[in-house]
Parts: sequence; C-alpha cells; structure tokens
Amino acid sequence: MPNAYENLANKSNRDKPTDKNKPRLDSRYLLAVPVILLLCFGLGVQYTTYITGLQPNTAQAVNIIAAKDFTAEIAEGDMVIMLSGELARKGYYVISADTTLRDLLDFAGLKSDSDISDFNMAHTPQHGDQYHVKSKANPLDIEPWLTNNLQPENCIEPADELININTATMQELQQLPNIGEVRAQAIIDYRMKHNGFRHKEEILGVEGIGQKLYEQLINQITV
Amino acid sequence: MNSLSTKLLFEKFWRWQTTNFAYVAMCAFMLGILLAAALGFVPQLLLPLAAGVGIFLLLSLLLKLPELLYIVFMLLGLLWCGLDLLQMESFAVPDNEAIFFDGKVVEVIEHSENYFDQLAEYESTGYTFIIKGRADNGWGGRLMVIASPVKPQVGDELRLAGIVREFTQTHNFYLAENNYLRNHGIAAAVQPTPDGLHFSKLAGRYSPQAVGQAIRQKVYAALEVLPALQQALVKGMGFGDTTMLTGGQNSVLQQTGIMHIFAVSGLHIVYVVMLAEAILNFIRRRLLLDYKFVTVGTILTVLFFDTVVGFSPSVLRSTIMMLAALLSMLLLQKHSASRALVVSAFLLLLWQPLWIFQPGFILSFMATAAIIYTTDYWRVLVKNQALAVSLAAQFMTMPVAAYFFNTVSIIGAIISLPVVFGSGIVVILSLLAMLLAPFGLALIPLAGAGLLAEWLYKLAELFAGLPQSFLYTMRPDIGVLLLYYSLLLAAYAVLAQFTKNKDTESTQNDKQTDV
Repeated sequence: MPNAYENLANKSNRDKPTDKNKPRLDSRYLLAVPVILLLCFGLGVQYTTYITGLQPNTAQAVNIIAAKDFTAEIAEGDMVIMLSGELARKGYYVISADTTLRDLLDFAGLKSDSDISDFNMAHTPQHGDQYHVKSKANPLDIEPWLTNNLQPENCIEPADELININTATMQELQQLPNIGEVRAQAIIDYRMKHNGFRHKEEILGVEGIGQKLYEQLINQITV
Repeated sequence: MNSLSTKLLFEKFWRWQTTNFAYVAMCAFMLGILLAAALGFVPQLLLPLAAGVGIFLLLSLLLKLPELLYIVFMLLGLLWCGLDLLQMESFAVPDNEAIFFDGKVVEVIEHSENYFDQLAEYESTGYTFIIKGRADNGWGGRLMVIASPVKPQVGDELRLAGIVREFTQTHNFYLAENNYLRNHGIAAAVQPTPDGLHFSKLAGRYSPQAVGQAIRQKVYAALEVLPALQQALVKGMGFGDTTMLTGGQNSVLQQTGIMHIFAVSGLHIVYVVMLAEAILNFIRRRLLLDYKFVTVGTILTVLFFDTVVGFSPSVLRSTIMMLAALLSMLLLQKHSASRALVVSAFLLLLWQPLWIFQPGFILSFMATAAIIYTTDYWRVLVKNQALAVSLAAQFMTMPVAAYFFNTVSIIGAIISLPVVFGSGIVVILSLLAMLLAPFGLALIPLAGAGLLAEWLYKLAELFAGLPQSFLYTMRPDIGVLLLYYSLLLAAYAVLAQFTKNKDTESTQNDKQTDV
C-alpha cells in the first residue's frame, strides 16, 4: 500500500503536463499549409511568365533602331537597310550584324496581305540592302521597279535547284538526301492518294519521313 | 474563439465543416476563381491579394483558427484565375502583324477544314490547332493556329511564324460555343505564313494518345460510307465531335434540350467500365487472377478511352469521378459521389481556371450536381427514376442553356428519356466499333448505330416541330438567374421538409405496427 509521501509524489506527477496534454497543431494545418505553399509556388511561376511577357524584347530593341536614310551615322559593325512595301513600319533601320530577316520583319510588322513567300527568313541582311515586301492583294505591284528593283536577289531561293514533289519522278526524288527507293515510292503513293501536295510541309505526313529528315528536305523541295 | 464560434447560429455547419475541411477549402478556392471570372481582374489587385494570403495564413496559425484558411484558399483562387486572365489579356501583338512563337500543340480540332473558311480573304483550307508556348517578345500563353497546311499531333513541338488575325471577326463563322477563344484561354488566332511551321520535336508515334487518335481515325474512315447525317450523329454521340453537325441540326438539338448527349460524359464512361469489366472478368475467371486485376484493368481502359475521345471538361469530370469510385473499391474505402464531384471540379479548375467560362464545363458540373443532390426530391413528385433524373438535370441547367444558347426547351425532360436510352445503344455500338476498328470490322456496329442515331434525330425533329416545344429567350441577367435559383432552392427546401415529414410518419407507423 503506498504511503502518504508516494501519494503526494503521484499526485504531483499527474499535475505535470504530459506530451498528450500539450496543445498541438491542428491536423488540418498539416494538410492545408503544404497545399497553400504549393499553390503559392505555382502562382510565382505564373507571375514570372506574365511579367516576362510585359517586358519589351530588349535584345531586339537594341539591335534594331530606326534611321533617317542610308547616310545615317552608325557604329562599327552596324549597317543600314531599307524596308518598303506591305509592312506596318517601313523605312530605314540600323541593325547589328547578327540580325536576321525574320527579326527585321518581325520588328517592322507584317500585314495580312504581306507576301513573304520569296523571302529566306534566316538570311542576314547586309549594309545597303533594300527589301520590298509585295502585296498579295496587288499582284501588279510595280513599286520594286520604281525604287530600283528593291527585291534582293540573295533573298530568293534558287528555284531551279528545288525538286517539285508533285511532279518529280522516282529517280528525281531519290536525288534528295536520305530518300531511297522505298521513301520515294511512299511520297508518290501519298501524292496519288491525296491528289498531290498542297504545301511542302505536308511531306511530314508521308510514311517514313520523320522530324530529322523533314528538316533536311524542307529547303530542297517545292510544290 | 473556437468555443465562441461554435455557439453561433451555424453550429451545425461549423461541426460539419470540421470533418469536411479539405472539401470546403476546395470550394473556397473555386469560389475565388468564380469571383475573378465574374468580376474581372486588374494588375493592381495582385499585391493586396498576395499580402492578404500571407496575413490570413499567419493570423490563422497564431490564433489557431484553421477556418481562416478558407479565406486564404479563396484569395488564392482569385489570384489563380486572375493571373491567367491577365496573362491572356496582356497579348499585345496587333491584328495583321507578325508573331514568332515556340510552343507545343495541346489540342487539334477535329475538322478537315478550319472554322475560318467563310472568310474569303483568308486561306480557305487547312487545319486548326491550339498551341501553348512563348512568343519571341516573351509573352507566354495559348494561341489558335488557323488555316495550317499541316495537321500536327498533340505533343508536337514547333516554331511558328504567323500573322495575327482579327479576333472580332470570329463571330462570322459557326463555333460550337459562344466566345470559343476566350473560353479556351486563347489570346489570339494566328495564320502561319508560307513555310511558317518548323517542327522541332514530334510527339511519339506510339504514345497512348497517338494510338487512341489512330483508332478514332479508323472509325471515322469506316463511317465515311454512311450518309452525312448519320456520320455527324454517330461522331457526336460516340466521340463528342460535333463539328460535322450543321447549324440547323444544332438548333434542333438545342430546342429539344438533348445537346447533352453529344458530349462524352458519365454515360459513356459507365458503358466503357461495364464493357471492360465484362471482358476482364472473363479473363480473370479463366486465369484465376485477383479481383484487383479487373479494377486496375478497368482504370487503364477508361484512361485509354479518354485518349480516343479527347480530354474535354465533361470527359475529365466523369473520368475523375469514375476513378475515385474504382480506387475506393480497390482500397476498400467508402465512396462519396458528391466529394468526388468537388475534387474533380477543383482539379480541373486548378489545371484550366478559364474553363469556368466554358458552357460545357458549367453544364456538365451543374447537371451532375443536380442529379446527385436533387433527384430524391423529384422522386416525391414522379415515381420514375429516369424521369426524376432528367427533370433534376433539366431544371438546374435551364437558365444556363438560356444564357449561352438563348433557347429554353419545354419538352427537354420528356424527349430526353427515349433519346438518352437510344443514344446509350449508339454509344455501345461505337465502343464496339473502336474494339473492332483495328481488324477493319468497325462498319458492322456502325451501320446499326448510324441508323438508330438518325431515327433518334428524326424523333427530336418531330418534337421540335410541336407548338410551344421550346422558347427563344433573351440572355437572362444576373438578377433573373438569382431569382430562379432562389425559387428552385425554396422548392427543394419544401420538398425536403415534405420528405422528412413523410419519413417520420412512416417510422411512427412502423413502430405502431410493431407494438
């Protein structure tokens, strides 16, 4: 039987806060707080994307600036080119050596009637180049002749080297890189089944022509 | 504070929300999304709302009041949808100007000719798809590519050089839903320039999605021998593809209130599950396998079916709900349809907050909620379970249909019964066609499906021709909508009280009989 001292000791032990009596975090927090943190992370990513989209493309703005004419003062390595025709912002521009025609036309703003089918977008313009973008709505566009034939020759794909996949024979198709007898036959089968190719990109639909081969072929074929 | 709050008027709700914390938090998040969608969002709100999230989170932790987290979730919902809206609206390339865009194809619209063929100034042929990625100027988001010479696959990555087309002109052509571009979170329509599509990475040719699409194409190819009406109806009922339906046919379906059978939903998923379970159970018995084999196999079949029909909101909703049911079976847990509905809505809005604008999303969730929560009340008035389900769904979605389609169908609940039954058979036949498609035998079930679908359409046409079968209405404003749903809620409250009294009476009668 416990004596009075032991009773007192037991009582004082009972009064001590045990781990169970300690106030603990509600179990709902264990579920909610990680979810909230994850959502905040998602929002952060979304916000970064949004903010990035609002910034002007500084690299491009530095590379391309408007100029008065060909005689404008330019830094070493820069060059002046002229844009005319069916563009939102035509005129003279100072560009750096690594600016492509794609960057330039993007900056100048193409219109719905801009005909850029003859342009090689990856081409790097040279000092003094003049580009005239024709209008689809006005096929008798005589402006190039009036402005000293502004259509630069170096921007036009040499048409005689291209193989027309709608008319090419089996042998002609086999002149293309990585096109053997089987793939050439597949191209011919495809064009017979689909009444020809409307666009050269459709070659991607031919059995056996994947992404890598498509990249090799696209600049060597036409329709 | 807790003890004080529990003494408040909402004591019952307070106790209930404690056990359903996660679901109430999801509802609070969705309420935030709804508020942002309804009221709009401006960049000036970003900082105060973000600060609000931090303050309420800290307050909740300091005061040990988890209920304050509902406010945190609501504010997060506001930010979640608000940022999406801001991102979409920050697209700044003017119409008719060039854009260079790197992205991934997220949706290919199943139509051989694009929606834009009525505009003579644009290319008259080509394909339409949605691409998600980033423009050269840093803008990120979704664009719709129109009049594309190439039809890509979902998952293809490409660089696009194109011209931004006028957004406002999209009303000139038929789109399945109003404000199609906004509903899909699309900032602009872009037409590629000649040689403007450069693929950088192609989607796997043998991915589940590619195989699913290949099966769908095989079924479509088999359908080509059927008359155009039958093709359009079977594509709609079996695959949720309404692009072949003409404007007149769409009107008939809206007037008779049966447009819902042209969305892949719970009905399709249930049939897929039944078919899969029948086949897998047969295999299980033969090979003496565990029951889990059937459940896991059924889950995989449902997911594969989704790749065939595409991931529309109604497909995803019914899939998530069905997966919740199957997983609870697998894990031997209790299943609740209403909780599964909340979870599916939360997950879908987390993924695509702007779906909150989409009629397909709204109608799908409202109809399902009505069927889960209000069918019992309708059973007080009508004995037939199918009719009660139909009435519950129709009464809940009627104002939404009026809002989006300006049509109220009077006979919708009645005509739905035979049409839903018949469309179930068409769905089963379409599923069989999918199974038989790899063997070139898809036409066998499809011929019957086409004929039945045509009869159902003729029946709908007959009903649409009856006097007062439908009404053309103006778009109801928010006051009318609130009044309608208040009255509906009051009616359900009366019916609930009536049901309760009836139950009490029957219990008392039973007790007296026992005595």
